[in-house]
Amino acid sequence: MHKTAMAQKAEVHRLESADEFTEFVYEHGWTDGLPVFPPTRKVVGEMLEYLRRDPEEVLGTIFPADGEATIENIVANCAMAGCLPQYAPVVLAAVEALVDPEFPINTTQSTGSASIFTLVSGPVVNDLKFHTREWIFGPNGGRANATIGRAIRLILWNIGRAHPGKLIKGTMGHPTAWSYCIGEERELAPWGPMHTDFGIDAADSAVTVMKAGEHSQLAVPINTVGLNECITLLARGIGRVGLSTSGGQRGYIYVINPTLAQAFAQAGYTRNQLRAAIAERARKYSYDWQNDQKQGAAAPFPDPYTKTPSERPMFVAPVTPDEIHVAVGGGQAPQMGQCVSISSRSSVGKPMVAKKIRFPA
Amino acid sequence: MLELVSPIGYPRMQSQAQRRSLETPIGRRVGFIWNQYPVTKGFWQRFESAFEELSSPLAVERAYKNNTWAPLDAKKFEQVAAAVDYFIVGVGA
Repeated sequence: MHKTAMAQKAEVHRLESADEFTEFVYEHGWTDGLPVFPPTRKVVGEMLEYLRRDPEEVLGTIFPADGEATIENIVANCAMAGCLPQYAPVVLAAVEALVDPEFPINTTQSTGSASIFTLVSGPVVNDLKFHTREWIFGPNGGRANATIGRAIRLILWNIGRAHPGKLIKGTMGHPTAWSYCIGEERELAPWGPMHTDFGIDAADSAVTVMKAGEHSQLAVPINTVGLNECITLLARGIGRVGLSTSGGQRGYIYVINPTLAQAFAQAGYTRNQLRAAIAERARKYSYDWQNDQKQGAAAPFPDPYTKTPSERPMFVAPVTPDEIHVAVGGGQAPQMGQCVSISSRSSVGKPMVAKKIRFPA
Repeated sequence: MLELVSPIGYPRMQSQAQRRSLETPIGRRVGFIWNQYPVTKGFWQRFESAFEELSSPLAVERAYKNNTWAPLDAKKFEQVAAAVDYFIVGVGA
């Protein structure tokens, strides 16, 4: 981090009219493909005025091109995404997480095509009117969700120059990479915000930025199978073959809908007790296909429903409570618990990093 | 008239200025870092032999990782880096 370092001022381009803007951004590679808004001096200036920070201040460099992330070029990307000035502190906190040496941003650009998931939590969620209920992962019309997620992607694109086929070699990409940001539900959540898992005070607002691999939706029919079985179903989500393949640091975020969270809370579960209960029943399976540091013991894979059993053993490892994080969000459904599990694995650094959001004084 | 603030980030000029270029790989000290990825085992040995034959290195250092994904141990890297002029790194599949 180079918070006191200063960079040169951003370049200014002049167009004769707004009609030229769309072709200009595609010609200059300023967009990942989706349309963007003009980062005009006026809009960028309003955001800088709101932030009251030096435009040339450098937060760090963004992999893979190691472009300097300055307050000014971050804000220009916010403007292109359609952010309001009040969203900029959230994006700055996310950038602080991206440039944190603990965050494995370099491994997000490998063939696995991981994307960046951002979870915003605390009072800022309501202040900025995040859409936290039905279709929380979008599209849902929530400006904060969509534009903060877009700003982070554009920062990776324009500052990190994460252009596929050039500096990044992900083989498949992922639809979540266009915009992957949610706000954690507050009113209907029975527990405090997820960022307390990272030592940030519950009264603060924070972003948690994750190197995200698989995004899976799990339905757990509370009224049919009961809460105890729901824990088992949630735990099995982790064990799925291919969810994350091998050794290294792992992390999982479970976003459970308010109905399910309230049912657990009414049954006496705190958030940490739920994390521990899921971990107790979860196992991580790794297929023996590569030369890496396996976790767990090698064992045959006894799947009676597979017509052709695997020729190679599986490695079965326990999952620990600190690898699991639980957030609340999504729509209410009286009879159905819904959960999205997002997985992460990294051989270096931490799968996710949380930062407190600093607002202008 | 529309005035646009560029969203592009550029690498730190100071860091770039500190980079040195290797005039030639011939007759220098070379280091090989290899991840031992299973499907490259046959290739890598042949590659090293062919490269050494072509470049006539003054000295050769080999650092073979035991894990495909994790970086080389930092102390080992520093030790090998001090003994070579440049590296050839085998990564991925």
